[in-house]
Amino acid sequence: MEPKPDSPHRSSLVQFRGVSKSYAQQFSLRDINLQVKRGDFWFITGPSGSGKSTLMKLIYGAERPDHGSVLVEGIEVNQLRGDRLAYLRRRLGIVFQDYKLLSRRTIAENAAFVLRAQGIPRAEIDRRLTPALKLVGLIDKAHAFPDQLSGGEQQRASIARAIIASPTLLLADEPTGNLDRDNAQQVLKILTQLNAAGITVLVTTHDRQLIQSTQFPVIHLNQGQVRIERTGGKHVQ
Amino acid sequence: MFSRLPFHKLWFKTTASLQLWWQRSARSFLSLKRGQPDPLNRQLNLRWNQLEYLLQETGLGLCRGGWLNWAAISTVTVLLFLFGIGLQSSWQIEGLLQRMGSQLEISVYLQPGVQAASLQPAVARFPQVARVEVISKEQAWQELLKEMGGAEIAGLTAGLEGNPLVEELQVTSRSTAVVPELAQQLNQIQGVGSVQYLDQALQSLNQLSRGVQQIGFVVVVLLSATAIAVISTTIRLIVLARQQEIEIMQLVGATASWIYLPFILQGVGFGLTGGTIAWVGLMFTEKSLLNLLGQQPDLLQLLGDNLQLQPLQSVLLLLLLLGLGSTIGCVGSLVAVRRSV
Repeated sequence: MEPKPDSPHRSSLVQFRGVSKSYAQQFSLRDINLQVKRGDFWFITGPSGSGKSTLMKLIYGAERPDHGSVLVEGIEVNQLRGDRLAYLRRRLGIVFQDYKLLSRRTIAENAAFVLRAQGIPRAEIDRRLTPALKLVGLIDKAHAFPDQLSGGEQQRASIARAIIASPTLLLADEPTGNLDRDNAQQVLKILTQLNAAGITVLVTTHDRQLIQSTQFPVIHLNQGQVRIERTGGKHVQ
Repeated sequence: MFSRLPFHKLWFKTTASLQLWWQRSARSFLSLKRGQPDPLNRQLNLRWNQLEYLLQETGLGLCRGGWLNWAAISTVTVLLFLFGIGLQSSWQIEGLLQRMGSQLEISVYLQPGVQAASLQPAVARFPQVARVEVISKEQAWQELLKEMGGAEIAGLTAGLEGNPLVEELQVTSRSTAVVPELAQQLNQIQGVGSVQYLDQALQSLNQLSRGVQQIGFVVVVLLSATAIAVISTTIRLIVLARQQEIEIMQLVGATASWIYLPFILQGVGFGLTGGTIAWVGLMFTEKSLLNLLGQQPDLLQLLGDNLQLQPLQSVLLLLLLLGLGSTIGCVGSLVAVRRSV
């Protein structure tokens, strides 16, 4: 992608170099070449089974490409194993369609879980928790359990969990898939705010209306091929 | 992700992580004592937080386990109790053998008419002999009369036309191992009628000791396998119950050791709890048995005195039970983690 007009020297954060991935002899992704720069916001769209989630999984190392390489912050993800992969994931925030919140823990505990799992001291966790919950508008529900919240609130809680460790890259896989229009717009607004704060955001979605409501660029995936559908007026020349 | 790891590598990773953690903690602590500035203090806090997290997650795992925990702990307790009984019996028999060995004497009965004093220097010259005591036939006769009731049968000497006994040498050997050989050599000396020693009793006790050890070993191996299987199943079920958490932990960048250490600690916890309960059970059993024997005739009381463990042995027994218990717990949970996580 071309650099932002206001910061021409932005470095690339994610790179796909000739990446192919197939499942049961069927191509999910075929010879993909992509570059996402720091501070970008991209929508990734396409029909079911077009490889949107695969693209995300390749970035956070849950899948490995059959051919080619995926680089995040210049590190080849498919070469990472064990603890080195874990350390890379600490720099990413991931939001899932099904939220993946722990039902027996409160919203605050769910958000703090990321830092707890990394061995961060409690005082530091408390320091980061309040702004994260404030940003997603859940400070009043910090001690509620996930099943006491609406779908939109649960998704916002999962965003709080994704951003609490101050990631450089936020990956949101169908974050509005289970939400109504209002909640979807609310989630998008939060993601936009995060992007404005400097976090690179990649969002997969089916929702054309959501995409149309912004000017962000769109990657369209179909039959394993990438097409840049809209270069966007805000971030790309 | 661990299912592909061979068992020895998983073990190595666990121990290496623990070692690294301790090294870093110790380094932080030492730096703090030398009055280093805040960052190191923070690092120390980080270690304590990590320890707190690990213990909290271990506790959470135990809470989730519910009654399954007791299945694991009771199996380990039974195993360690039986192991403890085996070990205790082995120590007690060993002690009994040593006590008998220290009093072990060879009775050398001479032929009629041979004077014990005349053979004493020759016997004392044997290198295996520690001490030789002469028991004249008069002394022996007096002892016999005393044991048989004294004055009432004093007329027996006259009836038998004199003392019918022979002279005797009480030989004490230097070690138990040389007793049979020494007895054989003494028997070949001219003037010696017969030789007696506690060979039979010693052999029986040795056989008993060996038997107890062999049966104990088989029982411990079988029960260890059972305990490992039960602990592994318990941990595996807990792991499955927390599969979602583990998946999220992996996605948010928790390292492998960070994820599975609480499960390993849980297994070790089963072992330590089982070991402690087994030790308390063993001490209680020993005390009850000693109380019971204390109310019995003198011979059984004497047996009771021999069965009592020394304080040092009790501590050693506890340490061995805890060591074996934690090893079995650790192996059981490693098997579970390798299969399930």
